[in-house]
Amino acid sequence: MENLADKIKQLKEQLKLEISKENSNNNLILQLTNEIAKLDENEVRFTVDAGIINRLGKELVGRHETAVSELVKNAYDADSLEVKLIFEHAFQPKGTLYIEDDGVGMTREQLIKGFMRLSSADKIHTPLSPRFKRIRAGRKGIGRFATQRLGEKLTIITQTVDSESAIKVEIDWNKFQSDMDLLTVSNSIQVVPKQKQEGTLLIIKDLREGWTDAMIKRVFRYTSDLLQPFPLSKSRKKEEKKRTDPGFRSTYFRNDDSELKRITDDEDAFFNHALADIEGYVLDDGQACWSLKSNKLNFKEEVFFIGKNREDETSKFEYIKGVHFKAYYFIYLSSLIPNQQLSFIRDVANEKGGIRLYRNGFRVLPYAETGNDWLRLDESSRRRIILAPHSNNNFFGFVEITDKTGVLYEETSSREGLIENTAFNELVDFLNRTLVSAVIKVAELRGTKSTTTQKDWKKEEDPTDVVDSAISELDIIIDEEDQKKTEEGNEQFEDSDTHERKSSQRLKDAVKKIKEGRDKEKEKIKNLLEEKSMLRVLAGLGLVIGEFVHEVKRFLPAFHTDTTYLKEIVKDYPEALTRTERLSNNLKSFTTYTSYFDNTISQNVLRELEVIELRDVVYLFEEVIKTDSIRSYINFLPAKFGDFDLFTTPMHKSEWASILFNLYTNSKKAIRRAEKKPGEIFVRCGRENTSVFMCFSDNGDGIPIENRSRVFDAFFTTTSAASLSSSDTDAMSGTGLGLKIVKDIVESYGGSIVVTEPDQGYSTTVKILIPSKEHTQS
Amino acid sequence: MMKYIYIDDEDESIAIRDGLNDVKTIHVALEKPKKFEEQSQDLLNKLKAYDGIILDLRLDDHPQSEARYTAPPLAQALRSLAAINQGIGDCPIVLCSTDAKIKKSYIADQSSHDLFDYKFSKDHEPDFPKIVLKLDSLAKGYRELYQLKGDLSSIIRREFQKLDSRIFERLYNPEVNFPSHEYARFLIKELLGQPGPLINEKLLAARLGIDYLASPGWRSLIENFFDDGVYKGVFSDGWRRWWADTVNDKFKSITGKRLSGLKGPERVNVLINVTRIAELTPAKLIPRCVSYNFSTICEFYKQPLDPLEGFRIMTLKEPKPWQEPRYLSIDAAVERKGFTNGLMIHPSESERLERIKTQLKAEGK
Repeated sequence: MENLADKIKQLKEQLKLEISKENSNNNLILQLTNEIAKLDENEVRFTVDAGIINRLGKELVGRHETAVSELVKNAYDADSLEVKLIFEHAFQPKGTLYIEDDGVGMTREQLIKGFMRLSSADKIHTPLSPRFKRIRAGRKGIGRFATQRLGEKLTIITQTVDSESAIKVEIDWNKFQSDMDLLTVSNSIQVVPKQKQEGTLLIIKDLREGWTDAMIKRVFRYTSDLLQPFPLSKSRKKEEKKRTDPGFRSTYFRNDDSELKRITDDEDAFFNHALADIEGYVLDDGQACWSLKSNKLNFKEEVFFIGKNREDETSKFEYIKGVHFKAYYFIYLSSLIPNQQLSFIRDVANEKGGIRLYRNGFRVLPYAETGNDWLRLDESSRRRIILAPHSNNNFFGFVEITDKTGVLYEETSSREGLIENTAFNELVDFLNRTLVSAVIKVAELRGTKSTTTQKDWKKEEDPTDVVDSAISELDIIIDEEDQKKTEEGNEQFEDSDTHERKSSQRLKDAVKKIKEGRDKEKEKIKNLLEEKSMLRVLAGLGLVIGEFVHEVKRFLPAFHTDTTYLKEIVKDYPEALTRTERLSNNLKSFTTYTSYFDNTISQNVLRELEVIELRDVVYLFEEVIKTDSIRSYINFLPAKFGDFDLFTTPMHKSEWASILFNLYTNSKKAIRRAEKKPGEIFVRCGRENTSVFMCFSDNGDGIPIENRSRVFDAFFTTTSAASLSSSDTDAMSGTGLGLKIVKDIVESYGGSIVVTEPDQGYSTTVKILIPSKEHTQS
Repeated sequence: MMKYIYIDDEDESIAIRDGLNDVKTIHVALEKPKKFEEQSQDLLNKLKAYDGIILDLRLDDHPQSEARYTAPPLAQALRSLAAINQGIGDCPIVLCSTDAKIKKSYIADQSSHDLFDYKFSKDHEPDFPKIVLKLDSLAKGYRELYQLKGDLSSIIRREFQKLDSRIFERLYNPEVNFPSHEYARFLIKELLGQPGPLINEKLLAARLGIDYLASPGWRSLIENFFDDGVYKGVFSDGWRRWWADTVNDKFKSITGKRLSGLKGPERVNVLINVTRIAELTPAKLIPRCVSYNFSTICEFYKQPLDPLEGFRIMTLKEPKPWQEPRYLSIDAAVERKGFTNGLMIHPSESERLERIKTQLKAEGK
């Protein structure tokens, strides 16, 4: 006991000494008083360990992205108009983050009692912000922990509009070690010259995480509920400068080589993507009008009237004079909004979309909160009379009403919204009808059907007709001009305006060119249509053949059994035996064909593409063509392969059947025309740069150089009618589409096909190049 | 004459029946399938008059058919009944179908493979004489098996204890009386159907280094000098095989030289000298091969091959330790010959294949 008393005495001595010093050490004083208090015999007190800062930081702020969004919300709560965030060298950890707002700032007292005091009651005491009466968005007491969560060091520079200088506080979070009293960790505070009129700058150094653009954009998204995308009308701003909330915006930059690069802001993330801006007024005489502007649809601003009476656009509104609204209209189509923004905007819109209501400059809830459909837009969308999108989430907007006395629009007793009286209903009607009219106008501009009953709507005019009528319009104009000139020319000197004459001549020439091009184009389209319908015929034929081949298979065993039987029976009758053998052989080639086609067709059923080794398709083809080539006196030489693993880009196996059959059929015809006996066909495959190739050569009559590029055109045949033998019924032979189909197949895989210099000893070589497996674009 | 009952309701089944009957060795009766319960009972009754069954794989395919089942469950039911009845009613069960159907529903269902003694395809041109040879042998073999009651040495006509003990370890169990189909399955699938203790004519010729198709003296050689080694056990009339070990012994005894010590052409020369059969042609090398140390064949070229110049191929079942793998020559492997007909390099060989391709390319071959 005595010991304790001695100790207290000793501490008090020490304390006395310290206090009496001119420059006493406050940390020491705190420490000594603390220890004295701890030795108090009759009372005990809670103390706080400095480690609590790190603990709370970790527990209260989970993600670093949330941490930044909390700081942005703090800026909003401080009545900032704009907050700038600059991430400096922040791709890697250890970067610096600047958060600069133009809010009301903090006085020394506010800083010490608020920011530096844990669990301060400030936000509970004042749920609304001082200047614009914003509903506070930041969570209570999170800000400082957020800065701790983000980086190792924090500097705050803050000033208020009335202060003469700014204050600067520096905190090193690493100093808050466990086993120390929180009270004894001191941080420097300085008075520095004012940097701006008012506002706070946070500098967070030694960031703990690296920041990607995606993370930064996510932060923006977390704070999107602060967006008040719509500055209220300017006149009002002047009038009530001090009280009306002009809105809040946040802009995110990166600074890596001393040049600020914008990552995102609300314009960028949002409003640039609006399809249209819609704005409406009710003038003092009750006449309402609205305007529409759309950069995306190339529609300059235009003003329309709208009346209280649906049928009479000049009929006047009674109660809602002076109302003003503005809305951004979004349609969530990837053709209208870039994909990376699309889902972001739609997500935000699902939560925050709709038309907000401001009364005397203050937001009135619950209008445009999630699930609130005060303008009955969702309801109308569901009814699907208006087809164009016009749900709440298609709009970001606000309407402002002035009602100083509170006579027109009465607040409900629960203070949750306004009583639905006549004035309010008129407002709803005005907004609903204006928005719907605007939406229909936009739909019209986009060329889509906007209401189910719209009668004069027809499918987009055939572009061919549009162009043709424009051309004839040009003709008429030129004619009229000419006539005018002739009349004038009679009165004036001819060379009065050579410049004008020249440009009119140029116009005429241009129109002539358009007409000529047009004719060629039409011819081409006609050919394409012919080709298309021929392809349709062939496709249909292909299906029938497929079915036929499949059915025919059932008879094959019987052919075999019965010819074998016949051969046995007639073996003693040479003439009959010869016939039977022939029958048997013919049926054998028939069988080979059938099974090849059956395979091809069943492979076709598998829609999946696969890489194909050229050997595989060539071997299969060699096998199937063997009997036919012998019968046609064609020597089908064994194929040669210049490299291993000649895998193509993924294709259909059956397409190679088409390619090879077409080439074979063509070669056969060429050989027949050249009357070569025996004919010779040779296939050679290999690799060339990023492709594999196949050269298909024959010793037929060859293709003249001038026709080499044309043989792949639709309906081009090298065969003159006379040389076509009547037995020539090979597949697709008469159509002139065979090689065209081959070309289409090859080109659809990024390959090419040409008639090239013939291999030595041959008269024609067709070369096909197909990207190899290794060089397939994903 | 052995009689088979053939259950099928497809249109082409009549032609199949006729084709089989035209060979005039066995008799086949065609019937349409019945409902499952009826069918198994009916078959059991009929088996008193028949020696084997042929089943179409998809008995449920015909729109008018009452049957709603495939061949495997029916075969399973018959096998189980035979096991319960001490082997009465055990007979060959043969599967026949089209390639497409076999591919679609049979190959993947490996558990059903052991139910059938033999299968043949209806597609293309069935080789009826060959099929009939097998069917006839199967029917006769089952009769023998029933009478031999599991006496292994009598079944294979050789003292089984003198062979590798692993071969019969599963079937040699005095405690259990296996039904005939268990022996049949083992003989056909493991012993006769896989190279190993028994080899077929092609392999025999390959080991002797002979191009037997080009050798008029071949028949005389094997009949006069290698007849002792011919397999004479059950099913030997349908599957012509030689005991591999006796071939080596016989070669040594007639030539005085070890077969494996000689190159292919040398083996032929030695044989010509001692047998005085001149019309024997030495087998040529497969393209890209250089070794004459023939002991197997290439499954694509069907010509003699030194396994060191080949790649093991994938088979539905991995060969047992006492069986021999099958091979594809380097040329067939790198040129993908036979790949479209289902030959495939064993995955364990693919790295070596890549290495050899690189090497061949470097050598400009």
